[in-house]
Amino acid sequence: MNDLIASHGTLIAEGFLGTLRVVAIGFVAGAMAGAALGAIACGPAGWARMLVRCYVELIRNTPFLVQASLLFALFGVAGVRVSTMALGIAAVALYTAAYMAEIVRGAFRALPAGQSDAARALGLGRMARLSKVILPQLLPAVIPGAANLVATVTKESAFLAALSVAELTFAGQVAISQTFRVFEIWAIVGALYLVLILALLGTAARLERGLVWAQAQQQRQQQRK
Amino acid sequence: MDLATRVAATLPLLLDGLWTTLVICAAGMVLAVAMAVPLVAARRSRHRWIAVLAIGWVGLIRGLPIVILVFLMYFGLPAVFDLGRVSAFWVGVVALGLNGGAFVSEILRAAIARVPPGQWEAAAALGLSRGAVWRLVVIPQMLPVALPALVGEATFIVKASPVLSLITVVDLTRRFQQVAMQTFDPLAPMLAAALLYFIVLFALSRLAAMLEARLAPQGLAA
Repeated sequence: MNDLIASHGTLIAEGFLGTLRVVAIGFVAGAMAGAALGAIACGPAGWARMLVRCYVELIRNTPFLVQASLLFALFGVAGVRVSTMALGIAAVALYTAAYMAEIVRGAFRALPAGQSDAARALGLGRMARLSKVILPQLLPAVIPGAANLVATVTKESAFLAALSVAELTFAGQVAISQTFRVFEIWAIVGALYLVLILALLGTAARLERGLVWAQAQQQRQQQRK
Repeated sequence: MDLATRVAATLPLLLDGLWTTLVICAAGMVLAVAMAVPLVAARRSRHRWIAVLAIGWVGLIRGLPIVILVFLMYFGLPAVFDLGRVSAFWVGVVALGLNGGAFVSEILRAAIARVPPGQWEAAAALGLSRGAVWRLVVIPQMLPVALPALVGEATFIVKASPVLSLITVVDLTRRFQQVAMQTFDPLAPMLAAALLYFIVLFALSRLAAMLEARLAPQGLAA
């Protein structure tokens, strides 16, 4: 094991950084796009809502590997040369956006309708309604879902090795082709994923608990009044 | 030929791959439920170490990408135990089952937790045996809660199943790759496969939504 780490530790570490890069950039870009899509899905424009709905359903009802393969093939057929890393990040972003839009839509629908009505009755403008009433209640509901989504995306990103994206699983494949130490390398790679994903899931669970606690606190205060 | 015609022309070539995907996912789902029941029992065990073991197992599965689980089982374990070649098909079924089992056990646990404590106490007060409490009181009330989530879990298994194409199983994903190689057409077979996946997954998620809408109110009663 020690000699393996000495000879291929750097390769694996670079792969780990590759996974972090794919997930971090892909997720942040996807989450922002997803928030925008989610806002459209809760908005008034019927045709735009329909388009978002179609996109979300298409992504949610096909496997990630197929989506990523399709993206890579489209760029190949068009003859546009982009690095596999950039395409991998784009695939993660497209995937994240659809699931994020769904999380935002779910959180929005869970808001009591009276909130928006009450804000309007108070004479708040569109922007003030959004920034002072809707968003502060939306965010705590979105964040745990988003944290869970990062963990899912990290797991899915391992599929990108099949498309030669320089991430952790791909680094494992390269290391195995050079050393034939199959079990040890997958065990090391697996342990790295495990630490990363469990940390993300742990954060998600803590955020969820914090949220539940805050809500209970709020209710208790309301009851006291 | 335009793209739509090409997609339609490749569809029949993919059907055997689709069939393999469906068979593996169905077998994986059955195994997942079979795995989940002892896991739930272990989590409820009076012996703390058994519960801790089950929690550790679920954590391990939740934290490991299915790709790595499959590589460990297909390439790693045979190398360590000198098993020679193992069946990629069965490794696939077992991997999807192990992975799904951890998630199904969480679904069942949550469904059991939704049965109000008064139900257990009432059943005990009526003098029902342990088996009868489960059969007559708990299971009929947890199933409506668990069923939609179980169908949802089936969609996750289908979405994870392309991992088998990475270990030589000719499922829908590997089949479209083969057809693409043979026809020198990268797009049409892929779009046709995406369409087939979509049909299966969309049908399953509609079913889950329908079950949820139909079963939820009764599940919440009492």
